[in-house]
Amino acid sequence: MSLTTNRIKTTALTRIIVPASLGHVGATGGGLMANDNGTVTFAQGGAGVWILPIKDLTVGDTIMRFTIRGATAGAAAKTLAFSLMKSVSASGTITASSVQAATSDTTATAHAIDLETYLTTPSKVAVKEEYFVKCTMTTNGAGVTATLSSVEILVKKTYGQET
Amino acid sequence: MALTTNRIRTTIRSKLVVPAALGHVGATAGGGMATNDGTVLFPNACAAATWVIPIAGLNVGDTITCLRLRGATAGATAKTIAWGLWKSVSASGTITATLVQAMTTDTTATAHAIDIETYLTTQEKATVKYQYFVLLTITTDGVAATVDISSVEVDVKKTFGQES
Repeated sequence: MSLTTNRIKTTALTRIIVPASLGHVGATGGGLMANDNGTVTFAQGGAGVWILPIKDLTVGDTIMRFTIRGATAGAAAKTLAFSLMKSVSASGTITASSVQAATSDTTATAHAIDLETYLTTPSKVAVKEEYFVKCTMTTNGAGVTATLSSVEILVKKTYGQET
Repeated sequence: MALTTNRIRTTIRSKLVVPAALGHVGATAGGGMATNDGTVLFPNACAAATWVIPIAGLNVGDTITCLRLRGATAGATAKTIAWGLWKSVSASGTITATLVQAMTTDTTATAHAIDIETYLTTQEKATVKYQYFVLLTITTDGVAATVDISSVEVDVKKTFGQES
């Protein structure tokens, strides 16, 4: 027999998996999804921006950490910059601001991207806000590519009490 | 007054509804979203066109138990709807995609509603560093066969409540 109640509030940490292919090209093109791997690839010479909206957040959630997953190929320079952003509507415009930037990945050699960033100040999702990760991918030199797989978001959620 | 705690762990079964329109064209073009009904249409004469649907709504630790593909086909001639659950993980220099399980292929020639249910032989627990997606491979003949995909439903066991 199950207990049905709305009088117990439970807090929990959970890790949301956000596939990179849920995102879209930002103001600067470069990322391509035309593959069967569910990934986003930035070819050599790109300086593209990719916007990955964070699904499955609920007002009141607290974001603690974000982790970028992917891979780079080629042994020349690349600069991969990631920032957790939020935007809010105002009269005539939508204002986006950086919540926290990750340390840029500038490793020249081919490697797996596994970039974990704890927020200095955990960010509580407020009414009217939406969150996204802005990925700015600069690849230079022959044979250099960068591929994004997913972003993992560590969130503190509260379940159980009806609002 | 409500009781607030982090010491109760609850497991539930949930059905994630993943609209096909959240996906994108794969390595072989053919399908597109040029409709106003939120679906993905594969016109006639598609040759193994692929469409990738990322599974949104998964959390690390969730267990995937079953998938269902929803849509419709038109035309009374040949079409093949193949699909599978995939996962990918990052490695140095590349991202490796692995087939978790191929789902039941639909080869019915007549017009029909697509409602294919496939339970996983081995339930799949969502693991750190992995992301999951459904890869559709659609072939339609050159006459009048079309395939319209609406959504994928994913049965998931979720655990809520205890801090990890």
